[in-house]
Amino acid sequence: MGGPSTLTKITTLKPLDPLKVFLEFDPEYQVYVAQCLQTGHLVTADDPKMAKEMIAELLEDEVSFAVKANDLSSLLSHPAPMELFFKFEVANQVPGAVEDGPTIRVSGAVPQELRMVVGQDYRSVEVRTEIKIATGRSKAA
Amino acid sequence: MPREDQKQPRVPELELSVAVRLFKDRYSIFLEPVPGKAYSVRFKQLQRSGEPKLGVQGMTHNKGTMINPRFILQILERFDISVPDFLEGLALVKKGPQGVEKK
Repeated sequence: MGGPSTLTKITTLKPLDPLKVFLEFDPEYQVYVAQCLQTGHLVTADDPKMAKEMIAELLEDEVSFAVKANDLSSLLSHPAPMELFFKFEVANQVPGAVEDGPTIRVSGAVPQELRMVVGQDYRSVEVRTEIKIATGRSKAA
Repeated sequence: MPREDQKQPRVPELELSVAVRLFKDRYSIFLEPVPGKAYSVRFKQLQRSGEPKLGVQGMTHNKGTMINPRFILQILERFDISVPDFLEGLALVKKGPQGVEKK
């Protein structure tokens, strides 16, 4: 039976941990696209390594921004297309296809109404969130 | 006979300045620089209700001068703008105020 101790692990940021990213080559626009499933944010780059670095940087900014603005609803209001969720899950079935990407620090002043849920009674908070990156289609040789 | 897999018109890569002008003039969407991030930009729309909106942040390329079509598509989706409407606006921007094609 779960008690209050179980509840303390459930935070407002739970839907964002881990952040799931699907990376693939877009043949139409000839560019690598890394897109976060939950938030829909995307970056484009000429190579996959750069795309991974860029999406981590972008997500760190955007999640922190949303926490500061007390607006996680907006952050999660435009997720990636359902197709990408399926692609991620398919990749998840293949051992090693989903890599543990960087851990981002989500920092910011947590608004009063979120503090209870986040479980920290501090004006500023720092939470670490993992990014899991699944890679799909690559650029054809 | 129309093809079932007919795709919608393609959004081109744009100079950031062109995209900024189009979003501002046609949709009241404004660009906000991201402090400390030279190549990151945030697009925000003014709200009639006065409610704050997060907007969407993304990255430019070519040293901050160009905006990739995939990022443009994300902005359109985020602000409920149709691709044909955006392309119509783009055509007008390219023609200029007098409707003369710019060179």
